[in-house]
Amino acid sequence: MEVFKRILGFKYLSIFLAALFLKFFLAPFFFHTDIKIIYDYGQFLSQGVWNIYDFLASNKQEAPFGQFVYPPLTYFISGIFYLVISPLAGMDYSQWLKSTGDAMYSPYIFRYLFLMKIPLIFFEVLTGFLLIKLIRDEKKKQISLILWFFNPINIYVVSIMGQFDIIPAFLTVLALYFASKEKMYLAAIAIGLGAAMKTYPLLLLPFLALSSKKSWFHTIKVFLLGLVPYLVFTLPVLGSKPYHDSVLVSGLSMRIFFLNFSLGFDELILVVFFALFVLLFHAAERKFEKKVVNLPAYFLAVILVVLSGSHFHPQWLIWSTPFLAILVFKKNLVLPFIGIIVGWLGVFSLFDDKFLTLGLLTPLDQGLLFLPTIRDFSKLLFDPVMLQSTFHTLLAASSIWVIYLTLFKGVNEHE
Amino acid sequence: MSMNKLPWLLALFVIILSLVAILFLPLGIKNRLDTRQSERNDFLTLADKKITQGIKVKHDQLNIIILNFRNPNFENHSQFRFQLLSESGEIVVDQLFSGYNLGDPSDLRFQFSPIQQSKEKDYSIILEALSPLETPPVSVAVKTGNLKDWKPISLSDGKIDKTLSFSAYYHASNKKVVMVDFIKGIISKITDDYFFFIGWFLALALVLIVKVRNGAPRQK
Repeated sequence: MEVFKRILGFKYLSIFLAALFLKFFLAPFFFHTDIKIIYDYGQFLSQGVWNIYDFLASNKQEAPFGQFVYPPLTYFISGIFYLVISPLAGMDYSQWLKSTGDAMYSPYIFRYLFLMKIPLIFFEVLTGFLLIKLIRDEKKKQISLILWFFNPINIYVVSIMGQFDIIPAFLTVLALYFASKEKMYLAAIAIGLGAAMKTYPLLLLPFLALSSKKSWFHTIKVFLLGLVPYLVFTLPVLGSKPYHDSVLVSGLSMRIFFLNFSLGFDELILVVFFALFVLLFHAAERKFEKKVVNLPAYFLAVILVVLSGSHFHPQWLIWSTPFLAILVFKKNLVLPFIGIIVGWLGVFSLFDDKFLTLGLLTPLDQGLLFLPTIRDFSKLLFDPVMLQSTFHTLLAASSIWVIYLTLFKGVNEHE
Repeated sequence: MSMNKLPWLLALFVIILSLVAILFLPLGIKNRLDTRQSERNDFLTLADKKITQGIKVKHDQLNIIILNFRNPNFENHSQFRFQLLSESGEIVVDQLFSGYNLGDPSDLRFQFSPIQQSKEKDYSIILEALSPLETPPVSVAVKTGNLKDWKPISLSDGKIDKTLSFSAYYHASNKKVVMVDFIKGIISKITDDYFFFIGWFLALALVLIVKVRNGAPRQK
């Protein structure tokens, strides 16, 4: 009873309830195969499979969707989620996870989609709690929560697509929280765990280390400690060729190398890394001058550089939204924030993949499969490649402006 | 605007937007499910024997048939033929495809001009390999055993205890019929798993009840 009273007295309860209502409403009706694939492979954990990469390579009949393309912790987490969900989902759930083209016809698909997305919504809510802890001003807390829960990216990635990216995003915010409490070792472990699910948090680790207010030796210790969780989960599979091919050097991992200038003689300038190195030097300079390292701004900058400079998947944008929710308070940040959202919407809706748009509603009617994509419609008026590129350029320009305002001009410096 | 009202307005806005989008969808849908045998527990090789599968169509304007194939490692590039024969043996559809069209596994859509008077008619799906066969062989998804009302596959040397896994769609030109079908389909899906939907409604109701009990947030 006391707990219930405390819940009812929670100052931001209305925002959380509105968010839960919206996400519970949407979750059952939108279906993207990625969530099914992750849970399908996750069920092998309950069968004693520890190295999912070698297992799928040796048992191709169990891998109709190809290899597992995420680092190992994602597999273990999805395995745990599967164990929790499967008793509620019913006896046909395991078989449904293995189905291919006819998965959308299952009469229980709405139940499966809802249950599979609940853990992801849980992490989104947890991140909301962290945002409350990270922001001091009361009104800013409310704005931040509303931005976090109701921005189109979160709604799309968590409630509609059901992507696991919300979990490493949560871990990066957890790292920020620990850093704000000067618990740098815990922050480093959180980053390392995030990297063991999706590799991008490794790019944030140097900036976390540089934000340490102690000695350079402490900075190095924080950096090395952040690598430990990542290595704990990846070292056992590092010798596995399937892991190497499908995760380490996969097409996805290599995308940040694609934007480059040729110097001739087989040498390239890698633009994304160029920008990341500049940011690193900027952060190091702040440390040298014993100034505060604006960690959420650096985290946001790193992520926006990666997104601007690579052919991203739509769910990758959720890596940035918690930090956008923390930083976008000044009026001059609103416009580039909108630019990022519009750019993102334009880019992914013009992908030649109907399952990112109308195809998400196939549980409601399979006739949607035969509708043309938005890209097909756009061909009537404009070259879709140029149109999509324009949107990506908008996202990139907006990102650069946000980075400039938050890092170099010091707008809304986060303490 | 109160910070307590704004999130609820946003939630309501997104929900209404989604519902409107969903209700407008039938206007764009041109193809509807006619009949489907979705169970598959086996694959039948497309080798030297012609595969014949009888189906009964429920609607006029049949125009799409989808089959599921495997082409191991995408290695097979042989040529194949897909045909649809009427009851009288007339070739209604004749399409060629090859291993280049096939994934491992993948659905392949055979789309053709709508067959005007296809309702309640029997047709035969024919699959055969044309060119010299390569290895590994291409195979098509089937259900083995417990065929229920589905017709068995015939090979050159007789019937076998398997039936093709397939979906057939028809071209729906009457938007009113499509809309009615669409709504009926949603109601049917809700009643198929009413247990979940009752739980789901209760979860939403619980959130609203807590909201009502919460009232306005306390200010410091």
